[in-house]
Amino acid sequence: MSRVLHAIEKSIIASLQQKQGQTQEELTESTGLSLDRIRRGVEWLRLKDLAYIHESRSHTARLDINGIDALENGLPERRLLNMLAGGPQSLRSAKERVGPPFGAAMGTARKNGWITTERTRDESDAASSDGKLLLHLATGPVPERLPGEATLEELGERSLPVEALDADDLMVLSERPKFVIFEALVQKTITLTDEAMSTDADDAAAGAGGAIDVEAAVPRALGGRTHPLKDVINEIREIFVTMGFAETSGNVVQSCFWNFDALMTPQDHPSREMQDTFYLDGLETDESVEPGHLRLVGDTHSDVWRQPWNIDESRRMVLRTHTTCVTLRYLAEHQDMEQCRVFSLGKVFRNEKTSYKHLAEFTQVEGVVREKGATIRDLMGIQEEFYRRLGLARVRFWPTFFPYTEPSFQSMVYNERLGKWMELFGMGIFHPFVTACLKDTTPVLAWGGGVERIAMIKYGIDDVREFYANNIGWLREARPCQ
Amino acid sequence: MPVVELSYSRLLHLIDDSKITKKDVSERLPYLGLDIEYDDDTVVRVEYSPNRPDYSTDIGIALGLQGLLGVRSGPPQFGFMDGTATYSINATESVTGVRPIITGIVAKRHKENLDDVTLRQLVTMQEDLHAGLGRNRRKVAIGLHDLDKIGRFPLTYTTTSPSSHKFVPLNGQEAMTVSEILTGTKAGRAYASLLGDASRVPVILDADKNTISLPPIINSDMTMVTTDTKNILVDITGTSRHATENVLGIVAMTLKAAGFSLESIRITGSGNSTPKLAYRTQTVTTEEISERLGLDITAADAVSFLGKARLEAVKTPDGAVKCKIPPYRSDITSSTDLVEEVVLGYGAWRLKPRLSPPQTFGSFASPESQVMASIDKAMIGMGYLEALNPSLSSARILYEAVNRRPDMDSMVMVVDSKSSEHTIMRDMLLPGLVENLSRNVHEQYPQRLYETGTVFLKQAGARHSGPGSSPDSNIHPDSRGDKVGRGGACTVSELTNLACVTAHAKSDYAETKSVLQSLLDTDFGIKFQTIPDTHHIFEDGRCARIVAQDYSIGYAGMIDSAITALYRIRVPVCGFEISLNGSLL
Repeated sequence: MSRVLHAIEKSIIASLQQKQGQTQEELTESTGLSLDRIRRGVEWLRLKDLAYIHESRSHTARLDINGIDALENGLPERRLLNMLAGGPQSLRSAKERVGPPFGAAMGTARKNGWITTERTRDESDAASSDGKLLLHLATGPVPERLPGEATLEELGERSLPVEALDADDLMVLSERPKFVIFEALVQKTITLTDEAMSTDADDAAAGAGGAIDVEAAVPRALGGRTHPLKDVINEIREIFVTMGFAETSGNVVQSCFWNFDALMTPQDHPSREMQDTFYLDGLETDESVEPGHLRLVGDTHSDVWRQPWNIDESRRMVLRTHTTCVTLRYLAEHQDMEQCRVFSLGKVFRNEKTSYKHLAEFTQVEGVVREKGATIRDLMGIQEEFYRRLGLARVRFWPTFFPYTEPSFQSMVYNERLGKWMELFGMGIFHPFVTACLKDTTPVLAWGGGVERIAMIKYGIDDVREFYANNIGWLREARPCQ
Repeated sequence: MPVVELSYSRLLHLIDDSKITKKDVSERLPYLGLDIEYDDDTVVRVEYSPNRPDYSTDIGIALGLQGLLGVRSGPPQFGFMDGTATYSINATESVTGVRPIITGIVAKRHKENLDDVTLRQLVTMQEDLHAGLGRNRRKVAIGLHDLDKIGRFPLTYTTTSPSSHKFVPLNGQEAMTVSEILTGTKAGRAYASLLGDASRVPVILDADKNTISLPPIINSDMTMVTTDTKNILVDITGTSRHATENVLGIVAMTLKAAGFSLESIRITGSGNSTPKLAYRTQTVTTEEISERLGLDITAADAVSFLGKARLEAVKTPDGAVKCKIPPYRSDITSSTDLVEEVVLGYGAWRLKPRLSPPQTFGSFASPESQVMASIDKAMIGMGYLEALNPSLSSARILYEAVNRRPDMDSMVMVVDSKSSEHTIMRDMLLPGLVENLSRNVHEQYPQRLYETGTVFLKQAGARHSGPGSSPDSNIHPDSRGDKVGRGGACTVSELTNLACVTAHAKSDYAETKSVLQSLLDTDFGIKFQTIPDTHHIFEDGRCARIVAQDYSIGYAGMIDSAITALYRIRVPVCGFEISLNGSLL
């Protein structure tokens, strides 16, 4: 445990060296520090064995309702004596004037010999056989202060420690019903150990040359950071660039031609329905497609899918469902480039209800390689290298189906944390009917998939919605786990 | 993708080879192109690709596994007997404009009844084919009937009047008119729209005018298939002969593999004829295979691998490979499709990745990537956390909560969203950031958030407004550097904005202006003025329009306290939003 002292600790030690055994409240006054700081400082000193806390249980007394009545109107016996000071009274009238506490008042007054009684015969009242009891003030001295009166005044409306009061005088009151309430109080007093008593706080704190408590807890600095998902996006971007890929970007809003038709998705394909794809309300594209390309796409559709191809359908506008439309467009616009490696990163959209594993809008990365002699094994090699650079070492490829690539595979990556294989990028060689529309026979390797899935592995997240919740606590503290 | 549930014991029984274990099966399923969704000791659920509807039953999957596991090679024997003398369906002229095509087949079990599991697999296949190739029954619909409950042949495929024609629908208690069926049964309501508002509806009748089916809606109760059924009649109706016969091929193969023997039905009528279930041929060269796969594949290898993929191929004299394509493999239409089959037969797990160095130079998108990176550095240097909000947002966040009026002329909306939270493309970033603050009131202050992202504006012309110009804010900020639609004029402009918010007890206008100054002036050398203005999201008297080089690029100010109060944010919030197009980009 560090012997270096915090400024708060120093203040407390200095104060206790002046006066041992202070309560926290007293320390607040003597040091001028807030109660909260005193509490923390005391706790630190206790942990360092420089102070101990003594807990004492004390009782306080305060007046109950009958006590308060006595405070305002006098003790019943005082009221009786005051009355008798004006001359003797009959028992009956005295009883009426003092009220319910009369019995107690009489008892006390007689016991102490403050009054005497006399039985008289009232001649005028022949009916009364008992005669009358007459009360007199005794001839002896009546004390200036009756027992209990001192305590009554001292307490007043306050609450005082029992020790501060005269025990006998208090008992006069406490014996009576509802005169006094006692309350237990736990009081903590702080006392320095001998060692602390004898140290020079400033000197001890200083250690060698003004050192401070380097072990003390400190508040967390609130720095700025880029979004964890953005960090993953940038990491992916850099991997692509270092693997020889050029970045390209395109619009989120696309015509059906680029999003579907150019990739040979049949016009009646379920994925083109509104329940899967976001169509823009009442919007048609006013851009034009190179006529040769347009005609080839239309003819190929009619041939392959054996149904007429509708050009109006291709003009409708959608939020892109993949970024392949961007890379494909790049290829269409760079037909002179014999060899190219391009990638694109961006938002894609699916008309889905969001859940822990699905978002309506997510980030996709897409890569293509157009190269003479490119094969499926080269595609696998690029994937393996990409995942290796991301820190994902175990990769497998399972055959699957995509409408515009053939053969098609999906890469499966082992998630160490969950202990299972996870589906990542889909991949394949562009189907010849897609490249034929670009009047090209060079093979095009294409792959892509959701970036959030990779970010989920990296950040150990099981609910994909977390990335767009913008929970500030998470943004401040999230860190990759793999 | 469709899912099918398989029992391991039944799969092993169907594979019919005692050497094959459960482990072999679960290891090979993914290499058949089937995605394992769930797997335990007895049951495995797999997703199959829509191009392989023949995998919609355990019967079809077992055929595939037999090939991959080396139990059988080549296609299952498909032969069927000529039943045209006994069974016939005649389509009348009247179906032409309604649902023109019918085809079908008879499947006989002779002695054994249908077992419950097979029956369930057949129903699953029917549903999957409806959903996929059938395009929700519009293009193709299948009816399964107990052959022995059908009265006399020939059957007639014709049309009738929905208001007067009556029969007892499947699982029905009493005869109903077609109109009643369309409104009063679940299937009727679900698929009535496929009939449009036709005054005549298609029906299949037997020779005694008993109704067998109301395609594509529902069968009659009379011919219901149960576990007592021995023999089945399948009717397939649709809009195209090509599509109905493709489906027929899959149904026939599945019934055959399930132990039925097949008999053909004579189909007559305009545009219809008896299906031939004919094999096609498709050729592929060994060069094409080798070039795609990066392997040296000989014709003999290819023939053997295709056999494992349950296809039958032969070497041609010129060294190519000629393959017989069974009618249930309508997915194979080109040589490339055969390359894929060769990979399956070869075993995808055997393909070794290969990495050769690229001969291209990598590059970041320019100038976007660099500018964005500089902005990130500047903002995090000033203590801001980056937020990411969806660009497809809602009227609540974009307009209602921040006191803005939607501008129907520039707003980009999507159709039929499944969630009210995803209906409008954002035209501004600030509303999202203010909403983020409202969800973080329990987090430690000060809170500083920024976001860079795309905003969307519907526009006919080439010029566009800056962030959040609303029609009643009186000033339409303008900017240069238009990026409307790559490769041509597009009606939606996509612009890149930067916004930030600062929330703490002492945040004020000066703080947000100083951030802006540090960013624009210090980091990018852009001088700007802040001119008093108003904007719905900002407090009156504490709002400025930001002008750089004579162009309005955005707004800065204190977020209106009425907005923060509604969001229960208890500290003042300041912020700004600028368009980067024309200023930094």
